[in-house]
Amino acid sequence: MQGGMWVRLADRHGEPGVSCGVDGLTFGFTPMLERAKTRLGQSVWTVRAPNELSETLTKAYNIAVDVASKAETLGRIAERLNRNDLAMAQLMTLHLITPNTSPRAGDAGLMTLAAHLGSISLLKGFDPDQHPRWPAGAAGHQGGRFRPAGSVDANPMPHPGNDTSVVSDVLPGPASKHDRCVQQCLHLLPSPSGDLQSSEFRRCYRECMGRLT
Amino acid sequence: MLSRMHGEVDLKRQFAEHARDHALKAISELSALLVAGESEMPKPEFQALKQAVASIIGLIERDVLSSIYAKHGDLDDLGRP
Repeated sequence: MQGGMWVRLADRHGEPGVSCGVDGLTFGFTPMLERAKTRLGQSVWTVRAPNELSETLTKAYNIAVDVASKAETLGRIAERLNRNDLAMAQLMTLHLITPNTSPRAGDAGLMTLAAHLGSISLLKGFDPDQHPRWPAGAAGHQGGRFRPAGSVDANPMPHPGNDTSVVSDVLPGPASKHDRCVQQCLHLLPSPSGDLQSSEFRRCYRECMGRLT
Repeated sequence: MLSRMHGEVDLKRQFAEHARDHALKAISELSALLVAGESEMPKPEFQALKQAVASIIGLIERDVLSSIYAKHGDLDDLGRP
């Protein structure tokens, strides 16, 4: 349980939440991976377009979701499934920490869900660097709660979506702003206009990084 | 990156232009690789390549070009919005 919300894998496809099995990774009935053929004709799992997944999750949670920061982890889950390493794929899926729908009724439940999605970099437009949390075990039982930006945190709380205590060799570290912006703009490569200087991607990346004023 | 590596060293205009051209050439080469790879590579491998190229172009933009443009905004090939 994190932030007052239980997280578990769904037992089978079609159940609320995320399930991971030999037949892929699904959110409810919605596949998050798809099959593709390699040049040698081998069928492999690949990640569906992040914008499609974001739309699906947005509808499921009824909150604007952006999966860009999870695309890399989803890719690693696909790799594990391609290696028939189901156990690790399921562990990594669990570490996505995607809450089961639906939130508890009422504004409080919605706020809890939004805070949770934000803390694992799934809330669209939410920058966890701008909303730091108190570390686990902090005085006053406030571990995990948001702390004022700029306050001293001598023992930073690990990013819950990327807790490396179990599978540190395969789980990525906290997504940096660079990583998030790359994911957000990835669809602009190769350049839609054929521009070899990738102007569309670079503009998008700059805007995302806040360089354009 | 350039300014971070060398403190507040002023990038002389001639060198700044030179550096920008090299950086843009690197981006063009990477972009050309993607264009060629899209039709030649299996989708999963292409997606991995695309991810890597995107990250590198982003780093060039963030760590090289932005340092140049901070001093010489008129050299910015994308201009201002």
